[in-house]
Amino acid sequence: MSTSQDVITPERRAWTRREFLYALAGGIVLASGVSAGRWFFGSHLRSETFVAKMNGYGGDLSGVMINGFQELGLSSSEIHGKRILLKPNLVETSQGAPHINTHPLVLRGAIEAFLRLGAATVMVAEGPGHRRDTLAVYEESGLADVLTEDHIQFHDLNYITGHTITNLGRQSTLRTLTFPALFLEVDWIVSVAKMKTHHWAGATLSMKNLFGVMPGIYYGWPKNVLHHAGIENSILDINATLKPHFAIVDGIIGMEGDGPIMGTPKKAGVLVMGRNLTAVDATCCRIMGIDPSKVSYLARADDWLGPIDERSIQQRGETIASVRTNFSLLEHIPAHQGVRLA
Amino acid sequence: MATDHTDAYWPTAISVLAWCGSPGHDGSRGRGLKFLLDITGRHWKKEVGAPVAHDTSIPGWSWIADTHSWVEPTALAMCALRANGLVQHSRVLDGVRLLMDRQLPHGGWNYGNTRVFGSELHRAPESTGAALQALAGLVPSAEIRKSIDYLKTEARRVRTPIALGWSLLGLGAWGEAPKEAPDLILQTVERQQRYGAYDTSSLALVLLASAAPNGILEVRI
Repeated sequence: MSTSQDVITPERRAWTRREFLYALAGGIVLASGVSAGRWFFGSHLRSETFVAKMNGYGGDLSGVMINGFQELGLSSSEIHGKRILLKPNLVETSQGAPHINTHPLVLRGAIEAFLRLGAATVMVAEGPGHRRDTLAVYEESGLADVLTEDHIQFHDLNYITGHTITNLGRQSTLRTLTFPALFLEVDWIVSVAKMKTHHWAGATLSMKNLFGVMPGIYYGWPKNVLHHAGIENSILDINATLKPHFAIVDGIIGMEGDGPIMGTPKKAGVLVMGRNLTAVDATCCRIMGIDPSKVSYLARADDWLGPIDERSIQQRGETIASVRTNFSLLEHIPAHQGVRLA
Repeated sequence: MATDHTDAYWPTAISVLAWCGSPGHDGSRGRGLKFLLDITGRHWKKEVGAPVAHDTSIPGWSWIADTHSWVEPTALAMCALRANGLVQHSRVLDGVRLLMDRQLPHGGWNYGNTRVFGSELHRAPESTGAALQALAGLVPSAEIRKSIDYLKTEARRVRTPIALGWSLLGLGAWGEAPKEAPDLILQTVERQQRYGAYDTSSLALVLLASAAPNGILEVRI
């Protein structure tokens, strides 16, 4: 793995001529009402993401993830004894369309990686958005075979006791959010998402993936309470309130075009990881050829839930440029219009 | 679902069905029926050029208060009303319209979207079974033939209690349940050896399919 060198460090001693010109332009921007500090320095928040090339699902996924953990400063002392909940993206299944869902072998890799770092337990949990028969989705996605063989517990989050807390995001009119009470029994929540375009949100990655934690018995099938509250508002509310700990995005084979269900497979050949979901999703967008600042919920999350500015995200592993592959966007879908990264 | 989630009203229809034939619960059943007749999902005039293809103006039932009407809660509410002699009620007839509007062009139903941005969505056996159960005898069989054919294939494939349970109930209501239904049910129940005990409602559903070979409205226990 190579490490990107094109990182702007926050501590600077002297200004170069280019920086002086930037500062001058920044003053002009300030005069026009835009935060000059943010324009100049990027987000106040800083994060790191790790990108690994993966040619297929047959490689050493857990080894790659452990390497990513190390690059991101995630040590065994931090994970030792923790109860880890992995939240995949399992929406529905269709024959010949495995690219709808997080690949089961990515979950196996994550399970092995967290266990090798000393996690006390690792479990997988999901509440599919479109199917009431979670067991059918679990089975047809191939995940049941993997988890049964590995003796890993799977929890259906659609039919589960809820735990209601104040909505800390306050972007929608929802005053409270009801999460699975199971979450009170885990230490870390890891979004193990799929890299896909999305016909309502532009892209669905680790942040949007968390719609699936909201129990269907309280939010419906689809989770229509969240739709009426505003998809973008709800993405932000859930992330701000839940505060997930880590993200792993399966971009080995993602989905382009009419995602998140009816799109076509797109081989991006990457795994993207990080502690900050907003930063991870911004990096994923750039890999997909999408400008994260044009994806509304990411633009709103910027400098609040995490950074999206490239200068604020230290890139570990592969450079974005070396793995970028434009995902098809559809002209007739408003959320796809004008989001292509230059 | 819980006293602090009164908006999650969807179990009302199931409760009303469960109270049928239980004289001790006539009061609760009556209040449940009134509630179902009084409430609808959110609906609005269909807009020209809207990304969703279905007719958003047809009133049905939602899972959760103040959200859109979807296939399964509408089917459940229709079954509850039909079981209480309200087959000709305007709400049931509206439900028929809604379900027929949400039938996928290639047959079958899903949660309730047909085409979005021009793409026909995938179907699901449990949604299809519930819709066919609710519609039994209320529409010409030719109009749901593709859905029946799809579900007959699915019923022989699926081995999970919710998908199989609703598949058999829906097919049974139209007299189309496969002869091997008892074996399919047994195989599904036996899969608890692999997955552990099913939750009560899933197990009850697949056992109900065994007790109701002609559908939920003609239960013989």
